[in-house]
Formats: sequence, C-alpha cells, structure tokens
Amino acid sequence: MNLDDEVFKNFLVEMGEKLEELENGLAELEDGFSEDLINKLFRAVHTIKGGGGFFGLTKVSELSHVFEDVLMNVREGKLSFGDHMISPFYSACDALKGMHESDDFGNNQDIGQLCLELKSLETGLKKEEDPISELDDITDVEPNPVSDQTSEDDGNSTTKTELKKVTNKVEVEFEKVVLEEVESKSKSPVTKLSKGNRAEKTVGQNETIRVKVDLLNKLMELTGEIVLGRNQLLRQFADMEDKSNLVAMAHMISDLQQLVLQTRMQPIGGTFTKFKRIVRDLAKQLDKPINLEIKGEDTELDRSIIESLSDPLTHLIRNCADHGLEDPSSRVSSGKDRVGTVWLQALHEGGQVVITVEDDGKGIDAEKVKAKAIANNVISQSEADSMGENEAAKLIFHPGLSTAEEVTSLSGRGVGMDVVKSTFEKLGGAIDLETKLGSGTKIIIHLPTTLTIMSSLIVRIEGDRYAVPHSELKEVILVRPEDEIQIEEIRERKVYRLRGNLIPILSMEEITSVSKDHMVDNEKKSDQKEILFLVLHSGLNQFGLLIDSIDHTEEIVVKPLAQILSSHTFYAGSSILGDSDVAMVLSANGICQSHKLHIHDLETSVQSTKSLAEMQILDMQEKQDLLVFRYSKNEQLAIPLSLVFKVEQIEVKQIQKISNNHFINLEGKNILLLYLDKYLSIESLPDDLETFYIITPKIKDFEVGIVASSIEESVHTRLNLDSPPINENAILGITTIREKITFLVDLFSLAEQVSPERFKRAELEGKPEKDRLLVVEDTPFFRDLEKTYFESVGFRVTLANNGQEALDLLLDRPNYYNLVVSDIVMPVMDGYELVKTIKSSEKLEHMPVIALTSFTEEESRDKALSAGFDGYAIKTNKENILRAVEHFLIED
Amino acid sequence: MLYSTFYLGDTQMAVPIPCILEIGRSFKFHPVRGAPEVIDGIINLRGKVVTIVNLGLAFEEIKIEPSDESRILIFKNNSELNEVADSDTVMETAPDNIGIHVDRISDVIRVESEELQAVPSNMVHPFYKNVVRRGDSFIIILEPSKILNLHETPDHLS
Repeated sequence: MNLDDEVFKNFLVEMGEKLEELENGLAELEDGFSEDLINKLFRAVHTIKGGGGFFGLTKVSELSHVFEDVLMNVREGKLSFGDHMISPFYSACDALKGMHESDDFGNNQDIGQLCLELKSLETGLKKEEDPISELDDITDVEPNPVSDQTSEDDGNSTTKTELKKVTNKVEVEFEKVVLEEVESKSKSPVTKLSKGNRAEKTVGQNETIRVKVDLLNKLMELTGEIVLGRNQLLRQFADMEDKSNLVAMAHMISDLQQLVLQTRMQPIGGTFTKFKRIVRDLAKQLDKPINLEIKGEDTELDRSIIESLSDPLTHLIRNCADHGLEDPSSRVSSGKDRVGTVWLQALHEGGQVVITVEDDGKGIDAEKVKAKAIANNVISQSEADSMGENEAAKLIFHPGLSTAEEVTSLSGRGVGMDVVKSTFEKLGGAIDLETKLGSGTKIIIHLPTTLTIMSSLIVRIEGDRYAVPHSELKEVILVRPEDEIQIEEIRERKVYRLRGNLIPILSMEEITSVSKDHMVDNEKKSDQKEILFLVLHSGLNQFGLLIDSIDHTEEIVVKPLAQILSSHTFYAGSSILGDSDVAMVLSANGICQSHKLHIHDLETSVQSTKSLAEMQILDMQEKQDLLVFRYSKNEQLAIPLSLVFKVEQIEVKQIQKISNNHFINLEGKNILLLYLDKYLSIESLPDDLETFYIITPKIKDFEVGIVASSIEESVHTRLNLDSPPINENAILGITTIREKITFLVDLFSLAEQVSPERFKRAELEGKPEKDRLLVVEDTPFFRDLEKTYFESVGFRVTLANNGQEALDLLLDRPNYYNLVVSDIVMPVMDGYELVKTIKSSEKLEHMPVIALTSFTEEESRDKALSAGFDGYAIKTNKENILRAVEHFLIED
Repeated sequence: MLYSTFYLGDTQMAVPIPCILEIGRSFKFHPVRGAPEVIDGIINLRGKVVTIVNLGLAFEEIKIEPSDESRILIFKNNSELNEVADSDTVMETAPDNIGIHVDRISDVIRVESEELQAVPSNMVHPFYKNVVRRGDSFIIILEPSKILNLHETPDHLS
C-alpha cells in the first residue's frame, strides 16, 4: 500500500466527504422522500464501497455493499421507502464513519448485526432478475483461468455462453457504473465543508476544483498586501496629472480582492444541516418531540470562522433541547404546543453575521442563576439585587457558574457556556441573550464576516491615530454647546441620551487606564467646546468613544497583536495605513468585555433614580447655564451665566473700605462689592481667605462685584426649582446641583435692594389700553415667574401650558389678547409651530408673538425671528423681557 | 555558531545570528497606549508589524533611548526559524516577529560549543543562557525565547 499512500490518502478524504454527503442526505430524507435524494445517497455509498474494496477495507466494503443494495432497490422502485428505514440507515452511516476514523478502518469489526438489520429492510422486495447482484457474486470470486480453457474446450459451451452472458452483463454494468460516477461528479452540489486538508469550491455551476487550503490562505495574505501597496501608491500619486493607469489597476485590484475573499467564503448551510440529525437524536434521547427550524443557510462566512462555529453551536442547541424545552406534558399543561421548537437563523446585518438560537421553552430562571452565582461567590447580594432579568441570565456565561450546572450526558462534556462565549469572542464576535421566564430563550451571536480586510474609520484620539472597523461603528455624534441633549454625568460616569437610550461615554484614558498629557487643555472648557464621539456596538451593547477628530476611511488589513500584547483585548490588532504609519485597531467587542460591568451598572443605576414619566417631563424642559459658586463654606449659590459679565480673582489686600461700603479698583474703575450675607440669610465668608472671586453681573447701571469665596463650576442643566416658603426676596428658588442644595440668586431683586432708586420698577403711567398677555410656558417655575413679573408691573396675564392650549384660547377669543409671550420648547405643540399657525391663520395673523427662551446665542435669536416671531427675549433676564413686551404694547 | 553582540550599558551580550531577521537603525516607534512600559511600541517593517521591546526596561534597568548608536535587533518568528533546517541546534524565538532595542551594536563573534560556559550562580537571570569568555571579559549569551516572550514571565510586564 506504500506507493499508493498518496492515492489512499486521497480516497480517505473522498470517503469523508461522501460520508458527510450521506449524513446530510439522510437528514433531508427525513423531511421528505425524493428520488433525487435516494440517488444521491446511493452514489455516495457506492463510491465508498468501490474504494473500500480496492484498498482492502473489507468491512467497509461489505457494509456499504449491503447498504447500497437496499438503496438501489428503493431507487429502482423494487422496494418502497418507509420511515422505518431511516434509523438503520443512520446506524450504517455511523458505523462507516467510525470505520473511517479508526486505525484499522474497521477491518476487525463485527458488522453482522448491522448487515442483518439492513437486509431485513428488504422483506417485501419484489423479486426480479437482478443482474447486478449476480454480477457482484461473480466479481467476488477470484478470476479464474477457466475462461481460457472453456473457450478452447468446445465441449463446455454452456459455460462459455454463461461466461459470455456474464461478460456482457459486466460490460453493461460497468458502463452504468462509470456513467454514474461521472454523473455524481458533475451533479453533486459542492458547497459542503470537508475535514482534512482539502477544500472544494464551485466555479460556475458544474465545475469544481480541489485546492489546498494553505494555498488559499497564502493567496488571501498576499492580496491583503497588494491592497495595502495599492493604497500607498494611490496616496503617493494623488496629485499626479495622468494616473489613469494606476486608477485602472486600482480598480482591478479591488475586484481581485473581492474574488479572493469569496474563495474563502462558504455558506453556513453546511454546518446547519447536520443539526437536524443532532436534534433528531436529541428528541429521541430526551423523549421530547422537537422541531428545528433553519433559516439563512445561504449566509456566507469566512471558512475558518465556520469551522470554529460547529462545536459551540452544537452546545447551544443541545442546551435548548435539554434545559430549555420542557417535556411534552408540561408544555401542554401550560398551554404550549406539545412539540417544542428551536429556531436556528443566520443573517447579514451591517457588515456582521448575526446567528440566533432560539427556543420556546421555559426560559432561564434569573433568580436561580443569581442564587447560584451568589453561592459560588461570583457576585454579591447587592449586585444581584440591582440586576435585571437579562443581565442575571447572562451570568450563565461566567466561568464560575457553568461548571456548577448539572452536567448531563448531553450538554456537559466540558464544553461549558463560558467556553462557548470565549470561542465566539476569540473570533472577534460577541454573544448576548434574551430570556423570558416561561416563554423561552434567545441567544444572539454577532460575528465579523471576514477576519482580515476591513473597511475602517481612521480617527485621532489625544495625538494618536486609531482604526475603527466600520462593522463595529454605528454612528458619529457631534455635541455642540447649544444642543439640547448634552453629555451628562451620573455618578461620575459620562452618559448620553441617544434617542431614548442611555449609553455610556468612554475615553481612551478610561479604556487603557493610561492618561496622556496632550496639548489642548480640554478640562476647563469642556462645557463650551464641541464634543465628538463614535457610537460603537458590540452585540446588543452600545457605547460612545470620545475622539478628537476623524481622519479618513481606509481599507486595512488587521494584523493580529503579538502575543506579548494579546492581553489587551481592547485592541483587535494593528494595521499599516496607506501612508506607512502604523495604527492600533480598536475592538468594540474587546472594549465591551473589559467594561461590561460598567455598562450594566449604568443602566440599572439610572433606572432606579428616575421613572420614565419623570424622564419624559425632564426631556421637555430646557436647560440653563448656571454659574455655581460659594460664599460661605457650606452653602452653594448660583446665578444664570447669561447674566454674568466677568469673573475675576482678587486678593484681600486690594479691597478698600470707604464709609460702610467696600470697593475695589479694577482696570481703573471703582467697583462696589456686594457681600451676599447682607442681603440673604446665609452664613458669612470664611475669615481666613486671602483671595476672593468677584462676579460682575451684566445688568445695565449695576456696576457691582458680587463676592464669592470659590467658583465651583458652570453647569448646563435643567432648572428644576423649588420655591420653599422662606422669605427671601433675592432668591429665585432652590435647586440641587451635584447633589448639593443650591440657591439661585435673583440678581434683579438684589439690584433693587442695593439701589432702590435706580432699579425699582416704575409703575406704568396710567393703565395701558393694551395689557392682556397670553403667556405660554410649560415649565411650572417659569410660568409662575413670568406671571409674577408681568402682574407686578400691571399687566393682566392668562397662562397656557403649551402651544395647543394657547391656540385654543386664542381661537376662542381672537381679539381679546394683545400680545402672546411664548416659550419655544414645549410638549404637544412647540413655539415654532404655534407662531407658524398663528401667522398663517386669518383670524390671528395680526397678533404679535414674542419668543422667550433660555438660549442666548445669536443663532437662536435669528432662528426665532425667521420662524415668524416678532420679538425675542431671554427668560432669566427680567429687564429684557419687560422691555420687549413694552416695545410691542406701548410703543405701538 | 556565529553570534551578534551588543551592549546594555557596559555589559556585552549576544544572541545567535540564525535567530536574527535583521538589524535596523532608526525606526519610528508607534507607542501602544495601554501596553506595559517595557514595550517601546510597534514599527512597520516593510509591511510587517513588529513589536519592540526595550532591553533596558526588560532587565529592569534604565530605559534605552533612541540615539545615533542605538539599534533594533529584529528576530525571526518561530515559523521563519523553522524554514531554515538546522538540525544540530534547537532554537526558539517567538510566534511573532519581535525586536529588541539596544544601546549599541558590537562585533560578530564565533563561538564553539565547548567555549560555552554555564552562568555563574551569582549572576543567574531568566534571560541568560550561557557565558563565554573573550579576552579579559565575559559576554553573556541570551536566550531569545525568554526575552521575546515577556508575557510568560509576568513580573516583567507589570
């Protein structure tokens, strides 16, 4: 057998393939009988038999011979197919598989029982002249030199004619066999995976060629390098006049790359089909009827990924059958269908392949899992209490837990859920699960479609460049200071409200635990600057990554990290960019892994502090910029930033006392200092201060400096003021900033107190004819505030909560109101819609409308005016509001 | 066997020439944020990404800074090493191409196997394999697989 070693090896590979075809064919046979299928099975067994006989694998040959007989009889219609045949077929198939893998190829195996089983299927066979079996009988015998003798000896003419008959039959049958072989070669759908070291690939419909996998790998790598080289060339010659040749070649290289990628792509269907068999066996073993639904068999994946999928997917399906699905009687009594279903699906989504394994069983009992986790010291009681159902269920992936599960003969075997998880993660994928107690469980696996060449976004973060694969990138968000939704902090972690979902915002510093000195000092200006971040996703998790800027998009070859660096899972690898520079490639999955706890932590902590209704209300209220400072050591104060002109630091010795007042000379001007404890009942300044801060307000004719002991920060926050019944004129209300109670100072009433002559609001001369205002405002605090303002100077105020209410009131009495003063951001109908409706309505188009907002930027003002508002004023600026109102009513 | 020698401070060290892919002068390191300090960074070697280990830091001494004299010794990876059939010595480097950043390069020396001496017990170090005498001084022969696989000696990667 020596010189034919190569040939024998080839046969073994072929036998392996045929066995796989056989098994898959049997699985399909279970779903329904077809002639085509039987033919396929027959050819597979036939090939095995032929080779087995040739290479002296006696038992293989014998068994397949008997098998083949039955198949042939069915094929020829002499035997009718019945479901009872499937089991013995599978047994025979298994036996052949076993022989294929054993050292002696089953030559010493006893297959008597099996053969008997198969033969017994042939009862009911319509007996006919069976040339082939006769032929086989003859070929089993050593060829004799009888033929020669007989032809010479005319006396034995019967033997001669016998022989001639047989020879003819041999020829006929041989032709048949040859034809079949040819047929089988051309018709077999070659899209299945083979073990061993050869791969088959379909080129066109009918032709395939065997290529060594190693060769394909090298081809892939080389193509990757060519792509890089092309990118470098394109960059180098970007400014050249005539680079049509280069461009043409560039296109061809792209095409080449696509094709080469395809050589490694295989439909996942091959792996899926074998699960039918597995499920069938399981159903039998567990005594539960199970139905397996498969979808998306055509979904293509890189070959190497498919190979690694088989084991973990098997485990998952076994789990569904064993632990997920209940036994038939329990199912029926809980109103479910007797037959349990397992869905196995694969589909492409945004550059990744998503595989789901779902069952309609009893779901995962989160409480039980939690209890086990606590018992095994995986989590603490308090952590368990704050976990959601899905989060707790995900604990089953924890290594500390899987081993504790009951190891049944089916789902045990040392392949725990943690191994399943790490297998997928090693491939650059992610695993997630959703479960509902009583209804079932769904496991979702995200996988990259290809391991090597990825289209990526090159970004700059704190001086370095990083590559982010497009498949992991969801969107890019720019947060400008004037935007409604900003990055907020909850328990010192940054978050962002992305269309209703709260996502954590991470920085490279947090991810790598390395801080960097970078040139731009972002710290102080964080509220005023624009913030750019990427939304990345891993499985079902999303998060934001802060970046400085985006460079460009590039197709890169991800080179795996050296072993020395492999523990840093937040990097998927490194790559060489078009300009020869190296860049690290980030891995969203890796980042999630190391930060996973943070993400879940966040969700639950937010849930516990606010109910959904509260959050909705908050969403509609506007945000204010406030300057937060301290006067006494313990109390915190705030004033609207829009009213702050300047903040300066001064030393105690600069302060001069003249009569009862304190002054300071700044830039040539003498500024009166305001000590807040004189006007508010708060504690006094600390004695030991050497430096103070002076806040100069932006109020006309009010040149004072408000003394502060420290400036805490400026915040951009929703104003949720409480007005406690304390007798304080100079306080607008109380709010909480950074969990500290803060007084919001009313600068106007302060000004009135300081110089009453100048600031006391003069009573309007006489009663103005036009004094009926409609104030539209959803925030309760501002509604009250505005009402008070206007009424205090003699106007009559009617309130509306939102645009719709206002409109109703207006349409009801179109000539009653003289002026509408409206907020912009409101629920149901906002200010813009309101003003549009008013201006386009015949009845109301004469009505002047002023916009009142918290925004101070020029653009907002322009935006309001172009929307149709006749005037614009800022809420916290009393002066401003009244002036605007007067303008419309009095100077008409 | 031929060895390439180099200096770490005043100590002369050597590695077998068959293990070396190339010796280079100045390379632009790209720092890997989050990686241990002993890793100077990664470089682009004609399309290959090579990780560079700072020899000074690997020995827990002073960090080697790039200078006119400093060099990078880039080692072959294990599969490249096995392509060259050399049956008498079994050598191992690392699964990937790693380079070491050294102070300065020195001569190539030939050492016969009889000349290799064991490392004196007062000088034992996981990276040292042998010592060899040359003139008045000793040259320390390093074990490439140890210094290139720092992740296996966890203390060095703190």
